[in-house]
Amino acid sequence: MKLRIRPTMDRAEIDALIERYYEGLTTVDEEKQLYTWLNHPSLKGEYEAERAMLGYFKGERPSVRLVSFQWWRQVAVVAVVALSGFVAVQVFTPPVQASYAYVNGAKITNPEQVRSKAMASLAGLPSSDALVDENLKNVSTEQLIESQLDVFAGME
Amino acid sequence: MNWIRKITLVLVITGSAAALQAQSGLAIRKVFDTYGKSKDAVMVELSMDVLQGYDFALFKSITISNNEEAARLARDCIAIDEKDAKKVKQVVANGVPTSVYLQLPQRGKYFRLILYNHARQPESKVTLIYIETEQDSEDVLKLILKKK
Repeated sequence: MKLRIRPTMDRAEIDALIERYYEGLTTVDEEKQLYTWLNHPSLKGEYEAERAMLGYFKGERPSVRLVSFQWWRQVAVVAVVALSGFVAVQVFTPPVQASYAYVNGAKITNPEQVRSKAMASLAGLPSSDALVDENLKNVSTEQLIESQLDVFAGME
Repeated sequence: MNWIRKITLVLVITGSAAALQAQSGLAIRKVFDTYGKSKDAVMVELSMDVLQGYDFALFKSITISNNEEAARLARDCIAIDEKDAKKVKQVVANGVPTSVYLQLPQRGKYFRLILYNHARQPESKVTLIYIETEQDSEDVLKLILKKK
């Protein structure tokens, strides 16, 4: 519902506008109109809390606050829309096949060539047997004998 | 204005979660980022592809030749990543790990593996592989080791 702004004052309209303001539904023009109404001399002693909130106690116009409020509201709306779009794309878009290789900095996208490079990298890993052999090789016979002799070092 | 604060809070939390999901969160990522496009390096990324008997959701590998600095970085990164992982196999020569096979904690439906090898002969060659698969990582590892 959009309120029609009139220069004349109507308490029901003021109340409705205040309610809309608290809900964050007022437009800039409506808020300006509300400021004007609340600052009217005939309303002195009324709407103190609202006037205080709007920064109208000493006749100060809270223009900065107004801009800030609108700015945040717009940013929030845009962000919600953007986030919803991102989530929707993530959820509903099927996973894309992204296969590529870089060889010396040059990009390759041919699937067969990429798979070939992948297989080559797997081939670079040692097998189970090779791992066992490596581990055995690393056990130095000399060190083993020395450590065994150390056991008897304290005996005479 | 409460609703604005709530929306902002939700956005911040959701955004942070999305950012975390977008990153693999592993230290070895640095090796791929640093050396992936350099000379004497071959980097491969396969996504949702079938690789001659292997069914990987993600396969990422890098092979770097004659680069001791890269080998050191890879070892350092693996030392970080292995804190939460199960070490399946390891070969250490002169106090330096030359082969490390790690099983990382499962993430969602994906099993994850890190495989590292540093061959010295006939030339210095570092191979680092990261795998995500829906198959049990034990089975995948057996298959990889058996196929040699």
